[in-house]
Amino acid sequence: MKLPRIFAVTVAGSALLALATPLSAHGIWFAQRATQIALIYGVGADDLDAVKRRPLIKTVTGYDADWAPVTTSLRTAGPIPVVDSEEPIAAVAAIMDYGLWSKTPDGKWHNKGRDEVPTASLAEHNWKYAVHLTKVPTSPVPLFEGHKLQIVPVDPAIPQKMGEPMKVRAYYEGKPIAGATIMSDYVNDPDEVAVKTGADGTATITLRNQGLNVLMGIYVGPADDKAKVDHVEYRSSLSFVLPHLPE
Amino acid sequence: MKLDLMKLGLAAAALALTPTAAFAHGSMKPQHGGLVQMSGETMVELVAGAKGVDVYISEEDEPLPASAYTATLTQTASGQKSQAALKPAGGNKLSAPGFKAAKGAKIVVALVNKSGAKVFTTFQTK
Repeated sequence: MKLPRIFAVTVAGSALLALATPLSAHGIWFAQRATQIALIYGVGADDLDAVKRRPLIKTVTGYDADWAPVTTSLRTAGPIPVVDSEEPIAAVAAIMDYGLWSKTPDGKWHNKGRDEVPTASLAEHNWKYAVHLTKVPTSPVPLFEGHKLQIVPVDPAIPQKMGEPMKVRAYYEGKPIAGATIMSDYVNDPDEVAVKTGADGTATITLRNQGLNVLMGIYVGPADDKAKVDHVEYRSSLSFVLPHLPE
Repeated sequence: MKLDLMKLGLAAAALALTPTAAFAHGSMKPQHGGLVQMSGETMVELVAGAKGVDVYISEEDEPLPASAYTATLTQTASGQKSQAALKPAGGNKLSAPGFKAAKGAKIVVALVNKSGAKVFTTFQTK
């Protein structure tokens, strides 16, 4: 008897949490889907409709192992956008402008700035970024144009075993930034107690998965238009795969 | 003992850096005397000869119908790129007649299936 009640309470709690997930909690990252690299929009296991949000994607750029640009775009394949490149890519990056969002006291979010929602208790501009490494870099990962917040491995030789530490550095506007939040597993543990970057912009996380790892950096910066928003939230993923053992 | 640990570490590192694809199902033994690479679950064999370049494709040791793909071949040699279409040539064979594969070149085979899914396979010629 106790078990179903606990289960019901847990389910209800989870449902409430899901409903309460703020818009800004969502991010973008890349992951393999049916041999292709897909652009994912969501949080945790919520793989939401990225196709309808494609117009918000401002850039998709691909790079070879020497960081030379490779002509790259997104292609809609059924319900998911996938990366299409003219040559093999070692990395792919994307920028999404999620726009202005204002929250009114009734809890509703409006895709407008405070200038249009004067009763808003919160107004923000959301930018989302994603960088995916398809192979272990052989040289330092550069800062990509337009990525105001970017998470970069301090050592390009990313450890290949889960459980090992990995040091990353958060860059905001091209400079190391202290106080950025670094989540180590955005897909499987979106509620984790994340670490913050230190004065040199670095933080050390533990690699959680012998498979896809999606790190997420979060930084709240000053308003880009004080009449419309209180602040700007930047959410930037760094994803890569640690290989599994031979089958 | 230290040496053993170091050897073990090197072996583990080598395993870790080996592309996952190499461990997918299916034999990696060349069936036509060519170079073999795995991309995802697709095994691609590249055979460079005097008359051109042939590519054979299979999955889990089963031949894939070449007619179900559009394919291109891109060679980078001495900083120069050259490209050719690979045409279905019966069974699981795609051919680029007359294409000359250079020694020490990087050759990328791009396969696109009917749904538009693209896979790349990269070869280094000897």
